[in-house]
Amino acid sequence: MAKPAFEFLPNAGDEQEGLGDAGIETFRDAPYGSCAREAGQNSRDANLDNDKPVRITFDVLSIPAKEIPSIDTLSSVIDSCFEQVSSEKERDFFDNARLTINKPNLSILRIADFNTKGLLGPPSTRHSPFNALLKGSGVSIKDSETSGGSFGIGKNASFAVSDLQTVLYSTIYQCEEDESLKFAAQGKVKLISHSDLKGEQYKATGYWGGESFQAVTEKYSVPEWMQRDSRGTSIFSLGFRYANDWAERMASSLLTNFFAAVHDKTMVFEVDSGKININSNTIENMLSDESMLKAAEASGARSGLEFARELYRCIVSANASVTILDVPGLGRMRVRILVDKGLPRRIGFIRNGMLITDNLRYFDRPLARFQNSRDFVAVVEPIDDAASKLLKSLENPAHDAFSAERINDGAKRSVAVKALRKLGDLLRETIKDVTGIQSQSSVVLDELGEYFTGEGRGGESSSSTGENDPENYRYSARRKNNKERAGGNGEAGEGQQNGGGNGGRSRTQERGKGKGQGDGKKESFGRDTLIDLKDVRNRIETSKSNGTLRRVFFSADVSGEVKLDISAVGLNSSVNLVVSSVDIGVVSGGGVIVDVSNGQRCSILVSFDEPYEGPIEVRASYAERREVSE
Amino acid sequence: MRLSDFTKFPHPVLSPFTGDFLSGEFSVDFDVSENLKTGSLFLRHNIVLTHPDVAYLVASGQAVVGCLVKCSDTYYNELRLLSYPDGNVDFVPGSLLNKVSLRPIVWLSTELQRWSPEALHSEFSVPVFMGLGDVIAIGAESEISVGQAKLASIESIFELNNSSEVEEGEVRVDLEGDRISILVSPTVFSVIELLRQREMAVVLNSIYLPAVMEVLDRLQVDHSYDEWRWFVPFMEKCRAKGIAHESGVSILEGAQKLLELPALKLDEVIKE
Repeated sequence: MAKPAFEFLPNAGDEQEGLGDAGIETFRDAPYGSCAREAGQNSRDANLDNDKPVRITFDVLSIPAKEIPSIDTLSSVIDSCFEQVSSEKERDFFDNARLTINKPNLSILRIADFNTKGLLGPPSTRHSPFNALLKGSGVSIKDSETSGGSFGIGKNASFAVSDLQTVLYSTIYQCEEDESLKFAAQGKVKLISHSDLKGEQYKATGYWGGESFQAVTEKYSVPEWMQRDSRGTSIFSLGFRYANDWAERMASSLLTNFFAAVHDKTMVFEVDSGKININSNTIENMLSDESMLKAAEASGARSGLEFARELYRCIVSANASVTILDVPGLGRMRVRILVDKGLPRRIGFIRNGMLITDNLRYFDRPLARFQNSRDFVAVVEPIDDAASKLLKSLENPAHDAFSAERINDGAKRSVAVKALRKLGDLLRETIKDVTGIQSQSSVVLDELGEYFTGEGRGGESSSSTGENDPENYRYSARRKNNKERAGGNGEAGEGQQNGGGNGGRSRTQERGKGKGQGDGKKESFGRDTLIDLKDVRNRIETSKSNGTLRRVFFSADVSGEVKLDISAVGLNSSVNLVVSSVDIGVVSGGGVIVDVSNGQRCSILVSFDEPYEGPIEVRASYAERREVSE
Repeated sequence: MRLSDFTKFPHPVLSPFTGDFLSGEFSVDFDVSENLKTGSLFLRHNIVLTHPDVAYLVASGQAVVGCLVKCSDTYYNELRLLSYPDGNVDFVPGSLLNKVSLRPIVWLSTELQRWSPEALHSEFSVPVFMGLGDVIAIGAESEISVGQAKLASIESIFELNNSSEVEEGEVRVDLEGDRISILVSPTVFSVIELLRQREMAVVLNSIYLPAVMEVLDRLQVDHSYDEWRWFVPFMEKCRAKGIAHESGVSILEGAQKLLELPALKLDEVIKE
């Protein structure tokens, strides 16, 4: 197969095409943020396994120009375009493009998604997602009517960050016919209409790929940096418009738009080789991160990020009230409202994990002023497909407003207007109920307390800014003293573990908590005297003949025969495990009697009479004390 | 499952109690904020996680940090997720009271087939298999005592009363009670209630300042209020601020001293 090459469409009609591509221009104001947002939305729509998050990485590669097949062709086209510019804007663009493409290394922004279906092909089939992305115009291909992006105008955002207005794509998708995994790659260039040295006329649009504007379908026909090993899509913006804070700008946009999807663990992002990780663990911190706020400010989007932070707070707060609205003609909507001083008194509409807008102004319901409300923030989102589907049909291409004018059918438009107005009315009522001042006949004016009391209260009540804050009382938690040295016996703890742990349960006798265990001292436990074990450790060892075994390590500060009792950590109390065999010592009464030397490390291989792979507690007592009668 | 300082897992756990890792620390510092008005409680946390491999698992989302919150007085017993490396957790008013224990843990949200963390104790042979949900770090338990806000609170000597006997727009001050009562009509009462939530500086200057002036004015001619509870703290504060109760002394000046120059707070109103 011939090497992939750049090739421009013939311009038989001698059409004049300039640089002002409406699709790209849409994203010029905030190219980094727009690029991140659109990529996020398209990848989210292609989710493969709903139980796992879609992972999207944003990295800048530095690739030697010689490793980009047919780069000389593109360079020559850019030279031709430079000679044929018709405005200063075009001259500036191509001047910069020539500088960019003549560098020995080219900066390339790579956006790659994982746990996605990839760009479904075949690439040459009309209306396949691959075809819609590369060759569709005004075409919307979607997997679900409730999904987010659909390779509409948003696909142009990747061009807005390319100083060559050149974007390449590679994907691995599953073939519908035989379920085999297929590879496809192709690129697209958007310059100006031009003629070559021979005087042949070409359109502004060119493609990178196989002959006759076809995609490359052999993985090894594309450079290594374009290849993929797993299903998903990679987007490469050639001649990436590098800015020192590109990563923060993209990350702040992802945070602003996808905080809900990140919170519900359906999306994670890694930016700049994993230097910025956005996942459910880190999102709260990232939403307040100074570098993110600064980058958002540089993009004119700081207030958006701050609003997202308050909306996130509403989503996770235990103090938020939740109301389900059944809106005629729309469907079911969930409204979460958090009331607290300083909140912006705004509503965030979220759909498909993405923040869309804070108003319904195109439905004459601006929801902008809440005169009689306490400070609040509210999150509104559809919770059934009907509501999600209708809201999607009302969403504008920039995904930042709802408008019924997007519906062509007059009757449907009328229903939508009525439904959204009703939603606006119900929201006002709900917010009034939750945030309105409760009627009382008398209130104590706590705020005046600070002016008419002694000095005793000062210093303990302060806000996070360090200013006096009579409404909040602040103090620090006290960390409990560690009575135990690493690995020893001691006072039984009180916590419960819900996070995980292996299962497994052995035959047991419930044993109550021993009185006075611990502190590293020898104390009474039942009729035995406990010995302090040091540095207790255990691991599972599997043997083909004996099944699951466990090796237990410990040290003791005594010498002689000791009895070890091993218990499983039960739900409420310890549960004895019955030892069935050991490699050292003897089995006795469900435990082990073993000879130990003061300070010497012991290692015993034990098996239990029933399989158990969970955590244990080990207790030791003097073996001879077993003979003492009660 | 119970979890104590003495629980021994059959896999490495980063903890001050295990010694499974030769270096690295996991601990969480908690700061508490109790709201005096609503009783709601905020925990601000800061996670210290210095083992690079465990920290990587958390930062990349392969492990999760949480905190077992247990309160025996309210039977609250829940695992709350903690944002990494810091963040806030809030609680519904009344859900926690008196002694509350906080036990931080980290567990895996993905399976690790062949994990080879650095500084692992030699008694574990690497690579180790770690299953989904396995606890990989346990921090020392912390304790808080919830309800301190009420103890710290000093009762105010002022109250706002809704009175149908007061004409619309009028403000009156009644000193015949344990608290100094500011009386307003129902409509004005609602407005003040709202402003107290949103623009306290406006209320301070438009309602409280003249009310305090009224109290000072009356005290210049009448000291017969000493039977009421508000009297002693009010007079003590006046003494501390050097405010005399004599005719001719500016009550505006006195009220401004008591309310610590309330006009200074007006700039909050015009700030965004």
